[in-house]
Amino acid sequence: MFYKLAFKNVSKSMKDYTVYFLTLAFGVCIFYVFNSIDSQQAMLDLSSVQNTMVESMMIIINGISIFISFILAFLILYANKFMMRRRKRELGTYMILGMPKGKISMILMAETAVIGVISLAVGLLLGIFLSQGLAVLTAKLFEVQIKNFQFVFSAQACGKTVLYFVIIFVVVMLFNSTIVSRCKLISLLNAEHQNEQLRVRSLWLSVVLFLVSAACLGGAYYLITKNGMMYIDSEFWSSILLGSIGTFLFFMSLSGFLLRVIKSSKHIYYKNLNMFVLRQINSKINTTHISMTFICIMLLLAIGILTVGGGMQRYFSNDMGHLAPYDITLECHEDLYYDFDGMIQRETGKDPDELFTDRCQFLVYDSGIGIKYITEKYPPMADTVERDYAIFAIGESDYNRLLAMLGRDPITLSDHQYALSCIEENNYLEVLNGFLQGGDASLQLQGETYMPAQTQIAQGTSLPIGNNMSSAFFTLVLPDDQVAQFEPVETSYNAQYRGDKLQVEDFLMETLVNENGSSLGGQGEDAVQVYGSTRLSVVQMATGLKATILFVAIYMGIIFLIASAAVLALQQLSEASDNVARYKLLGKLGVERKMINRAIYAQVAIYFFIPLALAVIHAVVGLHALGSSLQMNGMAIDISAMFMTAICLLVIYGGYFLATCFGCKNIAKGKIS
Amino acid sequence: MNTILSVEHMEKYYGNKGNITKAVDDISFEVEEGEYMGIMGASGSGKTTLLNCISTIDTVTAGHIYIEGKDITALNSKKLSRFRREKLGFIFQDFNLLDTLTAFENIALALTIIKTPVSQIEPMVMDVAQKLEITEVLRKYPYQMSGGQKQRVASARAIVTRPSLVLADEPTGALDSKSSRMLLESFETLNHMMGATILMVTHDAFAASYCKRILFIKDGKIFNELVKGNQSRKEFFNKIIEVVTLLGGDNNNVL
Repeated sequence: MFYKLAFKNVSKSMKDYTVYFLTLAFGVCIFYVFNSIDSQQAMLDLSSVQNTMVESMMIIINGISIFISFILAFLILYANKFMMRRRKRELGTYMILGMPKGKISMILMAETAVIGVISLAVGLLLGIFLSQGLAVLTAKLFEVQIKNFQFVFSAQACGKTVLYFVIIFVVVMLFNSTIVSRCKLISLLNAEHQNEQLRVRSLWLSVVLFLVSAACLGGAYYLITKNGMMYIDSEFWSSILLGSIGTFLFFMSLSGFLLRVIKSSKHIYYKNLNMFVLRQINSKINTTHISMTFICIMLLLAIGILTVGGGMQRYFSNDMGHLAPYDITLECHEDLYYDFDGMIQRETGKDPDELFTDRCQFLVYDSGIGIKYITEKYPPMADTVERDYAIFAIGESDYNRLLAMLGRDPITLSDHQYALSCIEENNYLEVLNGFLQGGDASLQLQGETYMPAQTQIAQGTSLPIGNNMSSAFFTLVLPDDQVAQFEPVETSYNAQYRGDKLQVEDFLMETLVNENGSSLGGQGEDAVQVYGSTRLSVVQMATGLKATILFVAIYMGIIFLIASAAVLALQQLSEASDNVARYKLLGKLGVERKMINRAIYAQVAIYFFIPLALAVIHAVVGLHALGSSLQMNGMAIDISAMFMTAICLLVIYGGYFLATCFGCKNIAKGKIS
Repeated sequence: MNTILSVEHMEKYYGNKGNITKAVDDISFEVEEGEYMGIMGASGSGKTTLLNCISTIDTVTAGHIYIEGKDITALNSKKLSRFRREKLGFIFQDFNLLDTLTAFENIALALTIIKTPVSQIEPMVMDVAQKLEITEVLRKYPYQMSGGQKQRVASARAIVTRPSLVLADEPTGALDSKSSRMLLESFETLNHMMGATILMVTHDAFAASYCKRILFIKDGKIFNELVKGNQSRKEFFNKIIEVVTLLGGDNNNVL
């Protein structure tokens, strides 16, 4: 009997709370899809480097999943609270019939279980199908072929999803039981007559608060633009704090402010149902402004994560070749005169000439100065570096050999002259040229003064001295006899493969990489640690990183979007049923259905789009600040990422908005006639 | 004198085949302009159904209802809305004020619904508020007012649009006797000074004694009719009590 009741209740509320069910199923679906990415490895033709990337991506996604499960748990609890509120009268009826509280809790538990099982099943099913589609995206991101398209099902991800959601539903059950055990019969039966406490705030106070919030937001915008979001310092935190306070005050005062402003224009205020709609919003804002603040911040996060994530992956998807101009780079710190040729001969059993068209071994010296030394001389550069890195130096003839290896023209240095080299990409060249032309470009190295050989770094004369990305920032080139006075720190070996590059790469990986796979080098007793990186692995790492960033961004962005839209939708739907009496009265007074519907849409639209508008303004300011900093590092917020964000917003947020309008209209319609 | 309301052989059935309840069974009557008419009857006698049909909230099963010569049973829902907001004023037992709006705004809402020019809204509200002596509560919200004040605000909302007919459904039902008296006196004022035609449904003989004519309904049919004429209110009240006693078995509805 009780279970029959529970089933009946669920099927009844299915109709009323479509949004709740869809959100649950959607949450399950997304959760499964992103936790099952690793199972797609079976489908894709991934190299060992890429497999490692997938594994490290899964570690990140696992971590984020925990965070996301908390968001989903709060969302579900929040939704549940609304459902319970609507059913107080029903619970009161059970109690008045003499049903013990334990039994009522049982009914609610059974209901939660039914809801949970249905939404889990639907969500998983949806997720399993969607994850097949995601494999195509994964393949595209990793720039690999789908070797055999097969239907993948990840039992592990499925189990994990079920486990997480079962925990959430158990929490919901406990939560409901406490509600039931605490409630009083009289308040349950009178729930419908209990109006929300109307705390009428003076409208002028709202105007003042609104101005304060505008000032806070202005201050926050100023600080974040100044800070550029590059350093997490006091400026950054005060901007966040000011922004949060400003947002909070904004929503607290907005309705009062709007009311005040619109009231002063009687033509608008006394037109149609404007007065009703405004008062309606004003009456609820006391309880909704906190959730509105959170929704606005969540939307901001969603927009920010999607746009920045999408933009970053674009950056990584550019050809990474320029970061790693050599097919292979080997480095050794322990033995400065390490015989790389000998090692290769020994380990591979092949003559290096057979493997490489060209190779070059050279010493790298410590110049004794760091980046800060230069940025102090040229303040515009100060923005580009955060920490002090040592600058390495290399001899002129070695550098010319590297240039020759890449088919470029050599450079010439006179006595006590230096040249700078870096990756010819982004703004580095510009910044360095700025330094060279900016006035005092002389360098004090080991007590001697060095002057720049050129006032400008010519195109094609600058290149990194290895594949290692950290050395890409820049290097000093000094005349051979002078560089010898510095302290050598490592020996480096660059080579270009002969013949089919993939074949050589595979061969070297097989023969040179030791068991733990982390470094190259000899395996004898006197083995010296040798580090290496190949161009292919750099490119693959970059694509892996790109995929990770994009997946994480989509995962978090979509969950934030869903969470904020779902909270709004539930709020509005529940409010619509609270307002049925009011709509009914309007109907009796002779207001046409169309006019009532328009009032409902206006109310829902205001609730949906004002937080969005503020979040978009926040995001534009934030992204603008970030954009100018990123530009220094050669990245940019690109249009396609914004486009992607806009589409996500339109589909998810717009979808929820339409569903809410439709639902609210039906609630009002069902009760008026 | 014009006939404002004319009900002809109105019937309203609930239920379906085999199980029909005749809530209103062949009722006919007329209300003249400037009349203050009461409809009395016990619970379940069909008076609220009758009122709902007249107020176009419900539809009739058979018969016709004419308001200012227009057959409202033949109007579609859009025209009904229009008719309701232009020709009718409502006063409900439970006030039905919007709790989010101030008294002033509640009254003004009725005007904005019929798209009254903005410049006229304030004078019209102030005028009706003065007549009903609620000027001092205009800035208050419903929860800050007493029941009597709320009902007078509701009356102001009903009358401010100058409707042809004001329909009051148990207006004193939720009021104490002092507030009831004040409200009923307000109704008299509206009837006398503003020439409002009022149709009031009540089962309170005291409230009914303020009317000029009373229709008694029992089991969906007209049972009796009383006209006040030149009698004092006290004499009229005693007559009402007599009829209520005649209605029988419903002593619990007598004062």
